[in-house]
Amino acid sequence: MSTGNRLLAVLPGEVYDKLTPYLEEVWLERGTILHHPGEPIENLYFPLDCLLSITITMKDGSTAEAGMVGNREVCGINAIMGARETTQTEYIVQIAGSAIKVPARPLLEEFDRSKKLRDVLLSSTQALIAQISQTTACNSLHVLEQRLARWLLEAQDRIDSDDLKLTQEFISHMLGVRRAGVTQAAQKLQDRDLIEYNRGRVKVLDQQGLEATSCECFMTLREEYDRLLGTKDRDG
Amino acid sequence: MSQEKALPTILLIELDDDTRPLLKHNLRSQGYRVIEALEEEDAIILAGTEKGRPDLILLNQVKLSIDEFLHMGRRIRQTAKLLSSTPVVVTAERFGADLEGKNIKVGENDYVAYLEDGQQLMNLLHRLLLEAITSQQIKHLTD
Repeated sequence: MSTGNRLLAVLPGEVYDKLTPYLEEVWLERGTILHHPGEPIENLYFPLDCLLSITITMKDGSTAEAGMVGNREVCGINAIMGARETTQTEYIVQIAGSAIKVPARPLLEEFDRSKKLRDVLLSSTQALIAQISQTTACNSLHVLEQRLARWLLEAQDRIDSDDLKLTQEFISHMLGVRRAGVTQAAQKLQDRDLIEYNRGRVKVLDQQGLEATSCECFMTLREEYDRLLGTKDRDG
Repeated sequence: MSQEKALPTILLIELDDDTRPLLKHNLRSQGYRVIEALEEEDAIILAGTEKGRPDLILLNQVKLSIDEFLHMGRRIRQTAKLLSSTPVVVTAERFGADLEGKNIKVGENDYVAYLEDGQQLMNLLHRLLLEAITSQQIKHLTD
Protein backbone atom coordinates (compact mmCIF):
# COMPACT_ATOMS: atom_id res chain seq x y z
CA MET A 1 0.00 0.00 0.00
CA SER A 2 1.31 3.44 -0.90
CA THR A 3 2.38 5.85 1.82
CA GLY A 4 2.34 8.81 -0.56
CA ASN A 5 0.60 10.78 2.13
CA ARG A 6 3.09 12.80 4.13
CA LEU A 7 1.41 12.13 7.49
CA LEU A 8 1.30 8.39 6.98
CA ALA A 9 4.92 8.52 5.83
CA VAL A 10 6.11 10.08 9.09
CA LEU A 11 4.17 7.70 11.36
CA PRO A 12 6.47 5.42 13.35
CA GLY A 13 6.44 1.84 12.03
CA GLU A 14 4.75 0.36 15.09
CA VAL A 15 1.88 2.85 14.90
CA TYR A 16 1.45 2.30 11.18
CA ASP A 17 1.42 -1.48 11.72
CA LYS A 18 -1.37 -1.18 14.28
CA LEU A 19 -3.48 0.88 11.88
CA THR A 20 -2.73 -1.24 8.81
CA PRO A 21 -5.75 -3.61 9.23
CA TYR A 22 -8.06 -0.60 9.02
CA LEU A 23 -6.39 1.23 6.11
CA GLU A 24 -8.12 0.94 2.76
CA GLU A 25 -6.99 2.58 -0.47
CA VAL A 26 -10.01 4.11 -2.23
CA TRP A 27 -10.59 6.06 -5.41
CA LEU A 28 -12.44 9.34 -4.92
CA GLU A 29 -14.38 10.78 -7.85
CA ARG A 30 -14.52 14.50 -8.42
CA GLY A 31 -17.56 16.07 -6.79
CA THR A 32 -17.99 13.35 -4.15
CA ILE A 33 -19.06 14.83 -0.83
CA LEU A 34 -17.21 13.02 1.94
CA HIS A 35 -18.90 14.80 4.77
CA HIS A 36 -22.03 16.90 5.16
CA PRO A 37 -22.28 19.67 7.79
CA GLY A 38 -23.70 18.48 11.10
CA GLU A 39 -23.06 14.78 10.51
CA PRO A 40 -20.69 12.69 12.66
CA ILE A 41 -17.38 11.99 10.93
CA GLU A 42 -17.26 8.22 10.35
CA ASN A 43 -14.08 8.04 8.26
CA LEU A 44 -10.90 10.01 7.79
CA TYR A 45 -9.10 10.27 4.43
CA PHE A 46 -5.36 10.59 3.87
CA PRO A 47 -5.10 11.80 0.24
CA LEU A 48 -2.43 10.27 -1.96
CA ASP A 49 -2.95 12.18 -5.20
CA CYS A 50 -6.44 13.65 -4.93
CA LEU A 51 -7.36 17.16 -3.79
CA LEU A 52 -10.11 17.78 -1.24
CA SER A 53 -11.63 21.03 -0.07
CA ILE A 54 -13.21 22.08 3.17
CA THR A 55 -15.96 24.44 2.08
CA ILE A 56 -18.58 26.62 3.64
CA THR A 57 -21.88 27.35 1.89
CA MET A 58 -23.86 30.46 2.78
CA LYS A 59 -27.66 30.64 2.97
CA ASP A 60 -27.80 32.23 -0.51
CA GLY A 61 -25.94 29.23 -1.96
CA SER A 62 -22.60 30.93 -2.45
CA THR A 63 -19.62 28.78 -1.54
CA ALA A 64 -16.05 29.48 -0.51
CA GLU A 65 -13.16 27.27 0.42
CA ALA A 66 -12.04 27.33 4.02
CA GLY A 67 -9.19 24.85 3.68
CA MET A 68 -7.41 22.63 1.18
CA VAL A 69 -6.49 19.02 1.91
CA GLY A 70 -4.00 16.99 -0.09
CA ASN A 71 -1.14 14.58 0.39
CA ARG A 72 0.27 16.47 3.35
CA GLU A 73 -2.96 16.51 5.38
CA VAL A 74 -5.78 14.33 6.60
CA CYS A 75 -9.43 15.10 5.96
CA GLY A 76 -11.74 14.77 8.98
CA ILE A 77 -9.38 15.67 11.80
CA ASN A 78 -12.39 16.80 13.88
CA ALA A 79 -13.10 13.10 14.43
CA ILE A 80 -10.35 12.93 17.02
CA MET A 81 -11.56 16.03 18.86
CA GLY A 82 -14.28 16.42 21.47
CA ALA A 83 -17.26 16.45 19.13
CA ARG A 84 -17.10 14.23 16.05
CA GLU A 85 -19.46 16.28 13.94
CA THR A 86 -18.70 19.60 12.23
CA THR A 87 -21.40 22.22 12.25
CA GLN A 88 -20.77 24.25 9.14
CA THR A 89 -18.13 22.69 6.89
CA GLU A 90 -18.44 20.24 4.03
CA TYR A 91 -15.65 18.05 2.62
CA ILE A 92 -15.69 17.62 -1.15
CA VAL A 93 -13.40 16.01 -3.73
CA GLN A 94 -12.08 18.66 -6.12
CA ILE A 95 -9.55 16.65 -8.11
CA ALA A 96 -10.19 12.91 -8.43
CA GLY A 97 -7.58 10.48 -7.17
CA SER A 98 -6.64 7.98 -4.50
CA ALA A 99 -6.74 8.27 -0.72
CA ILE A 100 -6.27 6.03 2.28
CA LYS A 101 -9.55 5.70 4.15
CA VAL A 102 -9.55 4.81 7.84
CA PRO A 103 -12.58 4.49 10.15
CA ALA A 104 -12.65 7.13 12.87
CA ARG A 105 -13.13 4.74 15.80
CA PRO A 106 -9.91 2.65 15.60
CA LEU A 107 -7.90 5.77 14.79
CA LEU A 108 -9.34 7.53 17.84
CA GLU A 109 -8.56 4.51 20.03
CA GLU A 110 -4.96 4.48 18.80
CA PHE A 111 -4.82 8.27 19.20
CA ASP A 112 -5.71 7.83 22.88
CA ARG A 113 -3.03 5.12 23.32
CA SER A 114 -0.12 6.44 21.27
CA LYS A 115 1.70 9.68 21.99
CA LYS A 116 3.53 9.36 18.68
CA LEU A 117 0.27 9.28 16.73
CA ARG A 118 -1.03 12.20 18.79
CA ASP A 119 2.11 14.19 17.99
CA VAL A 120 1.68 13.66 14.24
CA LEU A 121 -2.06 14.40 14.16
CA LEU A 122 -1.78 17.42 16.45
CA SER A 123 1.09 18.81 14.35
CA SER A 124 -1.11 18.28 11.32
CA THR A 125 -3.94 20.14 13.05
CA GLN A 126 -1.57 22.99 13.84
CA ALA A 127 -0.52 23.07 10.18
CA LEU A 128 -4.16 23.16 9.08
CA ILE A 129 -4.86 26.04 11.47
CA ALA A 130 -1.81 27.82 10.01
CA GLN A 131 -3.19 27.26 6.50
CA ILE A 132 -6.64 28.59 7.39
CA SER A 133 -5.17 31.61 9.22
CA GLN A 134 -2.79 32.50 6.37
CA THR A 135 -5.55 32.11 3.79
CA THR A 136 -7.88 34.37 5.75
CA ALA A 137 -5.25 37.12 5.86
CA CYS A 138 -4.31 36.54 2.22
CA ASN A 139 -7.90 36.89 1.01
CA SER A 140 -8.19 40.20 2.84
CA LEU A 141 -4.87 41.74 1.86
CA HIS A 142 -3.67 40.46 -1.49
CA VAL A 143 -4.87 41.07 -5.03
CA LEU A 144 -6.62 38.38 -7.00
CA GLU A 145 -3.71 37.66 -9.33
CA GLN A 146 -1.48 36.87 -6.32
CA ARG A 147 -4.19 34.79 -4.66
CA LEU A 148 -4.83 32.75 -7.80
CA ALA A 149 -1.10 32.09 -8.20
CA ARG A 150 -0.90 31.01 -4.55
CA TRP A 151 -3.95 28.78 -4.85
CA LEU A 152 -2.61 27.01 -7.95
CA LEU A 153 0.75 26.46 -6.25
CA GLU A 154 -0.95 25.07 -3.15
CA ALA A 155 -3.02 22.69 -5.28
CA GLN A 156 0.00 21.64 -7.34
CA ASP A 157 2.06 20.96 -4.21
CA ARG A 158 -0.68 18.75 -2.75
CA ILE A 159 -1.13 16.44 -5.73
CA ASP A 160 2.46 16.60 -7.00
CA SER A 161 1.32 17.35 -10.54
CA ASP A 162 1.59 20.34 -12.88
CA ASP A 163 -1.65 19.31 -14.54
CA LEU A 164 -4.70 20.47 -12.59
CA LYS A 165 -8.18 19.50 -13.78
CA LEU A 166 -9.99 22.61 -12.60
CA THR A 167 -12.54 24.87 -14.23
CA GLN A 168 -12.41 28.62 -13.79
CA GLU A 169 -15.90 28.52 -12.29
CA PHE A 170 -14.73 26.03 -9.68
CA ILE A 171 -11.66 28.13 -8.83
CA SER A 172 -13.89 31.20 -8.44
CA HIS A 173 -15.96 29.32 -5.84
CA MET A 174 -12.83 28.26 -4.00
CA LEU A 175 -11.42 31.78 -3.91
CA GLY A 176 -14.81 33.30 -3.14
CA VAL A 177 -14.59 35.71 -6.08
CA ARG A 178 -16.48 36.28 -9.31
CA ARG A 179 -15.76 33.97 -12.20
CA ALA A 180 -14.87 36.97 -14.39
CA GLY A 181 -12.08 37.84 -11.98
CA VAL A 182 -10.56 34.38 -12.24
CA THR A 183 -10.92 34.48 -16.04
CA GLN A 184 -8.95 37.73 -16.25
CA ALA A 185 -6.37 36.74 -13.64
CA ALA A 186 -5.78 33.43 -15.45
CA GLN A 187 -5.47 35.31 -18.75
CA LYS A 188 -2.82 37.56 -17.27
CA LEU A 189 -0.86 34.55 -15.95
CA GLN A 190 -1.23 32.85 -19.33
CA ASP A 191 -0.02 35.91 -21.23
CA ARG A 192 3.15 35.71 -19.15
CA ASP A 193 3.55 32.00 -20.00
CA LEU A 194 3.22 30.99 -16.35
CA ILE A 195 0.21 28.74 -16.90
CA GLU A 196 -1.80 27.34 -19.76
CA TYR A 197 -5.57 27.12 -19.42
CA ASN A 198 -7.55 24.96 -21.77
CA ARG A 199 -11.04 23.51 -21.35
CA GLY A 200 -11.08 22.81 -17.63
CA ARG A 201 -7.37 22.09 -17.26
CA VAL A 202 -4.72 24.33 -15.81
CA LYS A 203 -1.13 23.43 -16.56
CA VAL A 204 1.62 25.08 -14.57
CA LEU A 205 4.33 25.98 -17.10
CA ASP A 206 6.68 28.02 -14.96
CA GLN A 207 6.60 27.21 -11.26
CA GLN A 208 9.30 29.70 -10.27
CA GLY A 209 7.55 32.45 -12.20
CA LEU A 210 4.27 31.56 -10.52
CA GLU A 211 5.97 31.63 -7.11
CA ALA A 212 7.36 35.08 -7.91
CA THR A 213 3.87 36.28 -8.89
CA SER A 214 2.24 34.79 -5.80
CA CYS A 215 2.14 36.66 -2.53
CA GLU A 216 4.38 35.67 0.38
CA CYS A 217 1.68 33.34 1.72
CA PHE A 218 2.68 30.29 -0.34
CA MET A 219 6.28 30.25 0.90
CA THR A 220 5.26 31.14 4.47
CA LEU A 221 2.90 28.17 4.59
CA ARG A 222 5.35 25.82 2.93
CA GLU A 223 7.97 26.70 5.56
CA GLU A 224 5.44 26.22 8.37
CA TYR A 225 4.39 22.82 7.05
CA ASP A 226 8.03 21.79 6.70
CA ARG A 227 8.72 22.96 10.26
CA LEU A 228 5.77 21.05 11.69
CA LEU A 229 5.81 17.91 9.56
CA GLY A 230 9.37 17.66 8.30
CA THR A 231 10.79 18.75 4.97
CA LYS A 232 9.05 17.35 1.94
CA ASP A 233 11.18 15.67 -0.71
CA ARG A 234 10.60 17.93 -3.71
CA ASP A 235 13.29 16.48 -5.94
CA GLY A 236 11.25 13.48 -7.00
CA MET B 1 -2.40 62.10 -26.58
CA SER B 2 -3.19 62.09 -30.28
CA GLN B 3 -1.23 58.87 -30.64
CA GLU B 4 -3.15 57.32 -27.72
CA LYS B 5 -6.51 58.34 -29.19
CA ALA B 6 -5.48 56.58 -32.39
CA LEU B 7 -5.67 53.28 -30.52
CA PRO B 8 -9.01 51.46 -30.63
CA THR B 9 -10.95 52.67 -27.59
CA ILE B 10 -13.06 50.50 -25.29
CA LEU B 11 -15.50 51.95 -22.78
CA LEU B 12 -15.46 49.53 -19.85
CA ILE B 13 -18.22 49.25 -17.28
CA GLU B 14 -16.89 46.83 -14.67
CA LEU B 15 -18.30 47.09 -11.17
CA ASP B 16 -16.19 44.39 -9.52
CA ASP B 17 -13.11 45.78 -7.77
CA ASP B 18 -11.16 42.51 -8.10
CA THR B 19 -11.80 42.15 -11.82
CA ARG B 20 -11.50 45.76 -13.02
CA PRO B 21 -7.70 46.23 -12.73
CA LEU B 22 -7.03 42.82 -14.29
CA LEU B 23 -9.39 43.39 -17.22
CA LYS B 24 -7.98 46.87 -17.82
CA HIS B 25 -4.46 45.50 -17.79
CA ASN B 26 -5.33 42.69 -20.20
CA LEU B 27 -7.11 45.03 -22.61
CA ARG B 28 -4.25 47.53 -22.55
CA SER B 29 -1.70 44.79 -23.16
CA GLN B 30 -3.66 43.93 -26.30
CA GLY B 31 -3.13 47.47 -27.54
CA TYR B 32 -6.48 49.02 -26.63
CA ARG B 33 -7.13 52.34 -24.98
CA VAL B 34 -9.49 51.83 -22.04
CA ILE B 35 -11.79 54.37 -20.49
CA GLU B 36 -13.79 53.21 -17.52
CA ALA B 37 -16.97 54.12 -15.73
CA LEU B 38 -18.77 52.68 -12.75
CA GLU B 39 -22.19 54.13 -13.52
CA GLU B 40 -24.30 54.63 -16.60
CA GLU B 41 -24.49 58.41 -16.15
CA ASP B 42 -20.70 58.72 -15.97
CA ALA B 43 -20.32 56.44 -18.98
CA ILE B 44 -22.66 58.64 -21.04
CA ILE B 45 -20.77 61.81 -20.11
CA LEU B 46 -17.39 60.21 -20.91
CA ALA B 47 -18.54 58.64 -24.16
CA GLY B 48 -20.06 61.94 -25.28
CA THR B 49 -16.74 63.79 -25.21
CA GLU B 50 -14.42 63.88 -28.20
CA LYS B 51 -11.63 62.44 -26.06
CA GLY B 52 -13.71 59.61 -24.66
CA ARG B 53 -15.57 58.43 -27.73
CA PRO B 54 -15.34 54.63 -27.69
CA ASP B 55 -15.22 52.20 -30.59
CA LEU B 56 -16.83 49.50 -28.42
CA ILE B 57 -18.75 49.31 -25.15
CA LEU B 58 -17.87 46.41 -22.84
CA LEU B 59 -20.02 45.64 -19.80
CA ASN B 60 -19.40 42.87 -17.31
CA GLN B 61 -22.57 41.46 -15.75
CA VAL B 62 -22.68 41.93 -11.97
CA LYS B 63 -25.87 41.51 -9.93
CA LEU B 64 -28.27 42.82 -12.62
CA SER B 65 -29.58 40.60 -15.43
CA ILE B 66 -27.95 40.27 -18.84
CA ASP B 67 -30.90 42.15 -20.38
CA GLU B 68 -30.46 45.04 -17.98
CA PHE B 69 -26.80 45.32 -18.94
CA LEU B 70 -27.66 45.10 -22.65
CA HIS B 71 -30.18 47.91 -22.22
CA MET B 72 -27.62 49.94 -20.31
CA GLY B 73 -25.11 49.54 -23.15
CA ARG B 74 -27.70 50.52 -25.76
CA ARG B 75 -28.77 53.59 -23.74
CA ILE B 76 -25.13 54.70 -23.43
CA ARG B 77 -24.66 54.30 -27.19
CA GLN B 78 -27.83 56.20 -27.99
CA THR B 79 -27.63 58.98 -25.36
CA ALA B 80 -23.95 59.69 -26.02
CA LYS B 81 -24.80 59.87 -29.73
CA LEU B 82 -22.33 57.18 -30.75
CA LEU B 83 -22.56 55.46 -34.11
CA SER B 84 -25.28 52.81 -34.13
CA SER B 85 -22.61 50.40 -35.37
CA THR B 86 -20.65 50.74 -32.11
CA PRO B 87 -20.70 47.21 -30.67
CA VAL B 88 -22.08 46.51 -27.20
CA VAL B 89 -20.64 43.40 -25.54
CA VAL B 90 -21.93 41.99 -22.26
CA THR B 91 -19.94 39.22 -20.59
CA ALA B 92 -22.27 36.90 -18.69
CA GLU B 93 -21.62 36.01 -15.07
CA ARG B 94 -23.37 32.69 -14.44
CA PHE B 95 -24.20 30.10 -17.08
CA GLY B 96 -24.19 26.39 -17.76
CA ALA B 97 -21.66 24.29 -19.60
CA ASP B 98 -23.92 24.30 -22.70
CA LEU B 99 -23.30 28.02 -23.21
CA GLU B 100 -19.63 28.08 -22.25
CA GLY B 101 -17.39 29.27 -25.06
CA LYS B 102 -20.22 30.89 -27.05
CA ASN B 103 -20.62 34.48 -28.26
CA ILE B 104 -24.29 35.07 -29.03
CA LYS B 105 -25.44 37.94 -31.22
CA VAL B 106 -28.56 39.45 -29.68
CA GLY B 107 -29.04 42.56 -31.82
CA GLU B 108 -27.64 44.33 -34.86
CA ASN B 109 -24.37 45.07 -33.04
CA ASP B 110 -24.95 43.59 -29.60
CA TYR B 111 -23.37 40.45 -28.18
CA VAL B 112 -23.44 38.33 -25.04
CA ALA B 113 -20.20 36.44 -24.39
CA TYR B 114 -20.24 33.30 -22.24
CA LEU B 115 -16.55 33.08 -21.56
CA GLU B 116 -14.66 29.86 -21.34
CA ASP B 117 -11.43 31.79 -20.92
CA GLY B 118 -9.98 35.25 -21.34
CA GLN B 119 -8.71 34.60 -24.85
CA GLN B 120 -12.28 34.14 -26.09
CA LEU B 121 -13.08 37.72 -25.08
CA MET B 122 -9.91 39.09 -26.67
CA ASN B 123 -10.69 37.28 -29.93
CA LEU B 124 -14.25 38.64 -29.98
CA LEU B 125 -13.16 42.21 -29.22
CA HIS B 126 -10.45 42.05 -31.87
CA ARG B 127 -12.95 40.93 -34.51
CA LEU B 128 -15.67 43.43 -33.57
CA LEU B 129 -13.27 46.37 -33.34
CA LEU B 130 -11.77 45.54 -36.71
CA GLU B 131 -15.26 45.46 -38.23
CA ALA B 132 -16.38 48.62 -36.42
CA ILE B 133 -13.31 50.65 -37.38
CA THR B 134 -13.44 49.46 -40.98
CA SER B 135 -17.11 50.43 -41.12
CA GLN B 136 -16.31 53.89 -39.69
CA GLN B 137 -13.56 54.41 -42.27
CA ILE B 138 -15.88 53.45 -45.12
CA LYS B 139 -18.53 55.84 -43.75
CA HIS B 140 -16.00 58.70 -43.65
CA LEU B 141 -14.95 58.01 -47.22
CA THR B 142 -18.51 57.92 -48.52
CA ASP B 143 -19.79 60.95 -46.51
